Amino acid sequence: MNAITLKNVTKRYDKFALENISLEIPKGYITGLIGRNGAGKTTLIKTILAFTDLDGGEISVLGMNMAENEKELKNKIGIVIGDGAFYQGYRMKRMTKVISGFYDNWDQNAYNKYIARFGLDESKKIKELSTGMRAKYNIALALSHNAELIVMDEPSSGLDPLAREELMDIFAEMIEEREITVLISTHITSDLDRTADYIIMINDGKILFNTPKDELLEAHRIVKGGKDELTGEVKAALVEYKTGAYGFEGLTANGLNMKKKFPSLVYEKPTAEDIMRYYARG
Amino acid sequence: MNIVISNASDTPIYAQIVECICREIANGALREGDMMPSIRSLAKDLSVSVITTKKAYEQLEARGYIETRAGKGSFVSARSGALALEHKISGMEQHLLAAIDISRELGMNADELKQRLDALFGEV
Repeated sequence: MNAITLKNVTKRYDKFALENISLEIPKGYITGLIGRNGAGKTTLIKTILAFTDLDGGEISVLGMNMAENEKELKNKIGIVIGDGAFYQGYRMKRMTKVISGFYDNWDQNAYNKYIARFGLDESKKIKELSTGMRAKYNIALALSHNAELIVMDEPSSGLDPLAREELMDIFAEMIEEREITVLISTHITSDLDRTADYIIMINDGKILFNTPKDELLEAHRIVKGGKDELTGEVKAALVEYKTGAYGFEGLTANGLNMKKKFPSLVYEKPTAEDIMRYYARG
Repeated sequence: MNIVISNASDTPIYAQIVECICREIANGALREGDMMPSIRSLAKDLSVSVITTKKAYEQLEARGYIETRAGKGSFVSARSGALALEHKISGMEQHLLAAIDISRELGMNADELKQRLDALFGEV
């Protein structure tokens, strides 16, 4: 069962296009959307959430058409995108009261729990919040109306490492408690190394892969060797490589085979970030 | 139950979980009929993905160590103890086979190897 399905989706802008994208995001798992700045992460998320009209294709979210069921779906989705539209002069408490009114299933207990967990002070005015506090406030709001789907665009970019870990722990707890789907885009891929189930990489508006994270990390290896070891055969087995004064470093998508063929080279387990770097360069 | 995972190891994480649980069954920390944690709670507690723990449980089930009852969860199976013992014995046999290979390289016969084994047995 999929939480989100895209079929041949096309969305064109002046200088950028999502061209013929088909994608399935399964229910009940954490999916990370990675790619460098400008790769199309935010555009893809906005397209999924029907913030823009399509130039072609179909999108289904929780089995429904987003444009036709907007009210019902917005109740079922927790969204963090951009800074959030808040009244700068409001205190958090008052702002929350306004926002909670938009949702049929607002859960004040859950909200209070997240506010405490993030160490937020509700008597502060929105304009007094730091970038990190604003991000946390945004996240707390998105998590507090019993959503079935959580979609966050770069939720961790304003957060320090501890808060980022906290956020990933919260996702893991929610996934344990009930069937909920999480889609987060990030260029801080270390957030995904531990708990993410699937990783989608987007580059230049195209989906490079949509794979279970474990398979991705287990298949790939960082390969290192001396300059004279970088033969044509070795090059052909690498996704991409770079050379330095004393040797080369590259990435292979089939570590096991390559290790058998070229046992004298050095092999290391990659992180999601290593994989993203090499694919984005290629 | 103890499960320790190394991200540096070349062994996939699901296989490490399978090994840890087999070991816990073999040493009696997990017994027949014990309830296993749910796939999702184990994933959360180990900070790994749900797919990882799911795969580990599928392997344990295929090998007969655990049984899943619909709506109730996974339990350590009745034959798990025997299987774990078998697994341990075959592990020992692997080492013995390796020892036999080396003894042949050294030109030793079976009696000489047994003498060595007896001597070592007395020491430890």
